[in-house]
Amino acid sequence: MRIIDLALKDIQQLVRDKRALLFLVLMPMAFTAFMGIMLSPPSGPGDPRLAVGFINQDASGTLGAELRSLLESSEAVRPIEVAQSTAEQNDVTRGSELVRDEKIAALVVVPDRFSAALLAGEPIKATVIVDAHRQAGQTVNLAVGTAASRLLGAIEAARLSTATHPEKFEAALSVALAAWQQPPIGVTVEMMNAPQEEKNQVLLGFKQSSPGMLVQFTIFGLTATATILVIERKARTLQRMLTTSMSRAAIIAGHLLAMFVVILLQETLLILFAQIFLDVNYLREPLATLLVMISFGAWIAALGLFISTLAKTDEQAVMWSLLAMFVLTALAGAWFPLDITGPAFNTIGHLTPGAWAMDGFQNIVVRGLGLTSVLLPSVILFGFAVLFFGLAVWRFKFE
Amino acid sequence: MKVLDIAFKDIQRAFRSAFGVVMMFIVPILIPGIIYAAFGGALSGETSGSSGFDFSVTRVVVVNLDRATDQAAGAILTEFLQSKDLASLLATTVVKDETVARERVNARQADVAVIIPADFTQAAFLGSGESNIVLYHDPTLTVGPLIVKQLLAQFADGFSGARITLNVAAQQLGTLDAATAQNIATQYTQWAQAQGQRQSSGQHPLFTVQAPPVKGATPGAANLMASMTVGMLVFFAFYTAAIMAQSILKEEEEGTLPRLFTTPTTRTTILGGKFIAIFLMVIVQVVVVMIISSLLFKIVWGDPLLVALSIVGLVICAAGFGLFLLSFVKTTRQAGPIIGGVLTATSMLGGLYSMTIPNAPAFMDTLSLFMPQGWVIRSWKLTLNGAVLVDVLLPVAVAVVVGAVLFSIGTLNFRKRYA
Repeated sequence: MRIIDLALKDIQQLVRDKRALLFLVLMPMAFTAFMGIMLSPPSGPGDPRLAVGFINQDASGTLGAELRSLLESSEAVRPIEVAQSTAEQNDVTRGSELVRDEKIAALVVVPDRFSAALLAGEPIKATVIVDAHRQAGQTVNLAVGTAASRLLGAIEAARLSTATHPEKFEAALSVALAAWQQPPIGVTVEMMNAPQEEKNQVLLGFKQSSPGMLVQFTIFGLTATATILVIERKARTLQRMLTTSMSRAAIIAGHLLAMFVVILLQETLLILFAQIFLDVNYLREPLATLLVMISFGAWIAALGLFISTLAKTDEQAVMWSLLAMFVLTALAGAWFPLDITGPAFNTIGHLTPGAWAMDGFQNIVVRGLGLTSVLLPSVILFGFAVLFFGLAVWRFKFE
Repeated sequence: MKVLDIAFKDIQRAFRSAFGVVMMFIVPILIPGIIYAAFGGALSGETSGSSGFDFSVTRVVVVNLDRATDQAAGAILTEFLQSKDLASLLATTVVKDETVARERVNARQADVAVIIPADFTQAAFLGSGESNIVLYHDPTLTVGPLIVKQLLAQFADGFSGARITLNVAAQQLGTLDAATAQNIATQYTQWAQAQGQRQSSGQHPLFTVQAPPVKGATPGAANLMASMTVGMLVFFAFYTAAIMAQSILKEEEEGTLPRLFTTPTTRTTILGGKFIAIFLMVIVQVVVVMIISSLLFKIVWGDPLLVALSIVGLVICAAGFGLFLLSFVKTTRQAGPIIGGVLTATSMLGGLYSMTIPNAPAFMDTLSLFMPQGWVIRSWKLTLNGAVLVDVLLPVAVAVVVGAVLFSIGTLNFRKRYA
């Protein structure tokens, strides 16, 4: 019972502190919502595809317009007018400035004599003004590449099929272009276990931000929880505790239990916030969620205990907690998915416990998997908890 | 020069704190450093090989359900995905059962499953019906599935093109005999392969890619790494200014400030020394972080004059904001959450965390103009993007004015408190 009394004292001490509420709960909630909005694909009644300015200077031909039509059928981009008046119709400078100012993702400029040159087999190229270093720019390049290849494919189809009857070329081209609007062979993307309405959406938004911010701010919470032990050691409260009938193990267990309960409480609030307000469905597998929460909480509590053995002052405890948060959160894939990083970073990331916590939570809310899918991450997290607890006990000093 | 003595004492004290040094110099470099380690040259615009960045190999499991046995399109696609040319991108295995393929993805033994439909050859070669290759993947993965989708789409377009060509020929020339059809299909395939080879060398036959113009004459647009480092630099400069201003409260609580007031030193000198310490510390921090970042991440900051102006805007704005914020705080105990909470919120709304996010909502840009950090970051963005002096002057001027106003309010508050 004394362990519980000691834990209750720590919890009471933390809950009384209004700062704790801000850092442990309100700030992570704000970050989860903010990052979720930032990462969400555009939604609502508008067209979610990337806007691409289109300037057709090929007044005498039709192939510029056909290229635009093929771009219209893209899933990734939508061509738009960049001109606000007829005088600006061919204003490449203005369109380029819109790309520079990130008002549009790219600008496609079809030059004069585009159709004539293409049909005559002369070399001619459209220009795509785009920042190829940005993700949006790369997406545009791929989409324009596909549309341009289809235009060339249609011309080649017409040329080959009318090699002996050149007078039929125009009709053949028209048929080929119409066929390319809906090619007979395509690619359908399906995501595992995703509900029907989500199958064609990339992993973005709240489902990414919620587990990530949960992992980050739970570690950040150690700035409050880990300092209690340091303050007690500094104030010699720990030493005085040794004069009581409480064993050393019971004192450590009491403080550890307090940290664990506070972390679990923090996780619960953040999960409920995401579930109720952001529609991130943790409760579709309540047992699995609970298991990951407990194993993750156990590791964080052990880490907190370990940090409290490294720090001589409460300021140092905050410093170690922040460093742990920055390093372990980034390696965990909480800020960005690990699959978009290099192979070495990806591998190192999975040697850290945070990545397994992310895996556990994502297995539930993103991959739509059940209890068995979180067993391995949970076992590994418990393993890390034991490791850090062992290190903490080995280094623990009451004075 | 008592004012400088007080300033140097505060700076010395800041440097003695391990926590202070870590937060002022280590963390602003550590965070971009981790990101740099994760993405390497992809963020800094460096090139290593053709892609400039090595992705993890994507584990692909293929199930070929194509019913055709002779000249089957499914077999050609399977062979293509297993080809040596793609070995650096894909590790492809073949299974016979669709359920097994999907289960491998579910169990994370594979990243994507490619399911070639039973009617694939029928649709590709024999000219009837439509057919879709199914790409099934883990929703947490982004790059691998995208690469496989592009490869499949190119492949599918190759077959579609051949079929469209045959259909067009049939429409224009009437019924085709087998030899003519074979001849047209072969010619189209050879043409498509040649096009594919040209594209794989990075050049599309129908368009060229141009970078958008920069605002000024200086070349070298900002890369993501520079943008990220600037975000951290601005955030931690504001943090340092606030922490330095906190020393006024700390000295008050420790009793050294009231004792200083009993000496012949005027209050103006004492507070002046503390204000100078804030400015100097932020300048030192900004310069040190910039130099280390330049060396580590090869960041090109831009025109030295514009960089100097942006530093001036940052330092004045950060110092003013820090002093203003702390002038409303009564104790150091209150200071922690107020500094953390207010700086986090204003930085968030000022666009510091979203400047590297592609396609961030447009309202963020407008919202950022209401935050001091928003104007500071604007001047840095323009500088990194090679803007000219005229463009940078406005955000720098606004940052300086905002900083000066906040600084004046903070000074007045402190003078009132210690009058």
